[in-house]
Amino acid sequence: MSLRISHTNRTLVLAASALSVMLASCALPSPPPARTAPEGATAQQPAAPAQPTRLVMRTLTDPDNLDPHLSAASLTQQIMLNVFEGLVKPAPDGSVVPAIAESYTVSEDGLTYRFKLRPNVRFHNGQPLTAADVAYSLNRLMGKGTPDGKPLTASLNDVERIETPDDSTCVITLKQVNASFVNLLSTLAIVPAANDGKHDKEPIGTGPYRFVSYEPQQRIVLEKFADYWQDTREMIDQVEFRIIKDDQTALLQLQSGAIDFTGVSAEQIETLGNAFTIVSHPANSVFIMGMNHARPPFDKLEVRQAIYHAIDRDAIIKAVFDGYAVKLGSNMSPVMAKYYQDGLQDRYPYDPERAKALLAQAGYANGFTTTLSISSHADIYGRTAQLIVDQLARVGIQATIETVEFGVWLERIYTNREFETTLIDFTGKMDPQAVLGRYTSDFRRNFINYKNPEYDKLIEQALRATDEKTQVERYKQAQKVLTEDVAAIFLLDYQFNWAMKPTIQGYTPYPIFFHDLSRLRLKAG
Amino acid sequence: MSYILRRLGTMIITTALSVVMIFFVFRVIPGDPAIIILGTEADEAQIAALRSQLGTDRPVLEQFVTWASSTLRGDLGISLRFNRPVAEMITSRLRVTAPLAIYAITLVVLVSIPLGVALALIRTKTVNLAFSYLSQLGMAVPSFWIALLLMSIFGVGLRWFPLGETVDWERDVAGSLRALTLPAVAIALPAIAIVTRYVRSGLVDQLSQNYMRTALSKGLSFYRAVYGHALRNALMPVTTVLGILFADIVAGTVVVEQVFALPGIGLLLVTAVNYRDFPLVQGIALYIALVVVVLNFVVDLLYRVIDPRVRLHKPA
Repeated sequence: MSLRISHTNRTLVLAASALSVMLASCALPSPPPARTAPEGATAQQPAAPAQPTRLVMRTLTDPDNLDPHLSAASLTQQIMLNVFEGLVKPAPDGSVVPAIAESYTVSEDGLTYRFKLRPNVRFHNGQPLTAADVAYSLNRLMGKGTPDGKPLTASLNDVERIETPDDSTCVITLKQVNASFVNLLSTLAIVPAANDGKHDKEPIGTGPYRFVSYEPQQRIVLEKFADYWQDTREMIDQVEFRIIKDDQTALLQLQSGAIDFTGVSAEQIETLGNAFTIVSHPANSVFIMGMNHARPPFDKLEVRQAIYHAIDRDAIIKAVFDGYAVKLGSNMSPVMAKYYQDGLQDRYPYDPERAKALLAQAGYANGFTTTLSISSHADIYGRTAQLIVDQLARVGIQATIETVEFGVWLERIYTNREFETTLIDFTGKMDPQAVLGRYTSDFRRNFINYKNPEYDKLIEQALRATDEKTQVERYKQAQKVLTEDVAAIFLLDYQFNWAMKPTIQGYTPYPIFFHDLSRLRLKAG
Repeated sequence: MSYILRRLGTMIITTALSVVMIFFVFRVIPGDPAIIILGTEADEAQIAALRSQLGTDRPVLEQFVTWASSTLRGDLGISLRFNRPVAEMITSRLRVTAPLAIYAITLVVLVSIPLGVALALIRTKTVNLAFSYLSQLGMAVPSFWIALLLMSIFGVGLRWFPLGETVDWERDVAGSLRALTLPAVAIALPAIAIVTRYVRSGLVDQLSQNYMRTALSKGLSFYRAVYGHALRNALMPVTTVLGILFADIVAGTVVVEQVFALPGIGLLLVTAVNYRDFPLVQGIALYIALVVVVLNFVVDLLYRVIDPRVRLHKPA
């Protein structure tokens, strides 16, 4: 079997409807109605062609690490995917497309991947990229040749060895078939071997933008990389990511002209009127209410089913997200069209009577008390929790909200699994394995203690499948199992709403956290 | 002289005690910096790699010895979250916080002392009532709300002041003042309400004292009696309040900094605590302890300037 990456094989294709950028009714403004620009500003001479173009975008928090191999935060990826590339890279439709490798072939047994590197790829320091840099980067991730020899990620555990027969070829041999392997490579950065020991201070990649500077709690500045392997002439010259934690502040700064782009909440869209373009798209997130299966009464299927019937997801979507969300029934967003099992969202409709009956069946006719532990770092948890507590009370379950700091949440609930129920949203991944693998019994972050050998088997079969049909089928079956078992209360996938100056064009949503700067253009305004 | 030495000794002990206490208290509360920094998407290998890089996998006592000895050598260590020297981060934040604190406290002094005096002298029913309402309003309105209001009126609506800018005061004093005006006003407004109250009630109290009657009856003009005697006495408690306020602002105005997205000490401290960034928390704790201790000392010295009868050393 041999295939080229650029084919749509082994890619996930997004539903056209899901991807189509939905512009809010007020969007696509005709020339911006005279904004309160200071007098004289509009009467300027047309900018000289040499004038560099500049954009200020808001980001929510500091990067967790500038070294791409040590970073795990989605918000860091959102920015740094512009700086770093893998052998392949993500495409807006959720597929992977060639990046540093211009093509690859897979051996008959699915174990050997031969990557042909693109000629003339340069690092931001001007050095040409060679197969040695690819081998260095992947080996570093696997902990080979590093001081303590520990792997920096578990993603490459299936890799047996990496060979570089010549400067433009890289051969990767796997221990066992891994259907997600190419997907994994799309976010594993190739960095120059010559920069060893400095990746976190002076990050160097091959992407369309190079890293210029980072000031903690203030800004990250990127600049267009003129020697990129694709034409960069149309791209914006300099992009500053301003770190602004507070949403209201970001909105005011957008209105005052201090920044050009920010994420906004559904209710803020109305405040903005039609002076800004709004781009809304599904986040490919999975927002769940997790129940600890190791603690009674959540070990009982009827109790979990009762809770699902007791919770009114439509009310949550309306009250917390102003309608900007879609209902889920399993741990996958419809954005993942190819793998998504439709219909599960209707398996447990809102039905308090049915919930009460199920509770009685489980021996909890009088309900029970529980604690809903949530993190304080985003207000969607608190607002959703209040609705859920109210809805649960109607079927006799007395839940108390316990709000903890995100740091405590990560340690006590997510790592040590000391909780009864909680709320969390998983951010988008392109790889179905990354999305569904969370619920296998041996997964280290299976914090809800869900265990089902049948589920484990399905996921393993999907991962080791050599044909795509089997793979897709297993992932769909796996979603059904999660729903039947009520592994968690799968609530919804919310939307991202981006507000930007009307002069910004080409904003392209991805099913993962990624502001693709290479597609942005500034229209003379 | 011996007073100064003794005082210096107490200052050092106070600072050291508070910093050591914070070191251990901070290790007791839950939260692992490596887990927090990497978030929900990290795998175990990434967390283990970061822990050993940060040194948080070593025993607490060992960490304390390492930290204490390097601090005594003047090295505050490297921030876990930001991977930069702590001392450098604190000094860079002072470039925002120091001018902001001085600006705000200047506004407070310039407004509340004359205002307090005027209100003490003009005590008609209407004025008293208006002052009572306004000062309560000033103290009750939360500063984040004042901040948002100032931003939407003067930043978005009128565009008199830039939002989201910090200008280095060493390079451009006027620009820096302009950028800091809205935050300084947001900090100063509630403080003005408090300090004006102190000035007014202190002065009202002094005006009814016997020495005032004596001063006036021996022929001293009302103006000289008020400014030479009554105000001097009334300012004693005000100095204490101003000292506490100033220490508060220099230690970081978390809410105002966050709302204005100003990279000051307060924002840094909150982040340091949230991320369990031990070296950074320790560094800022040391800084705050020093500020409070030194300011207390300065206030004591000021007492003496205002009232020469105050002795700095207690009689044996």
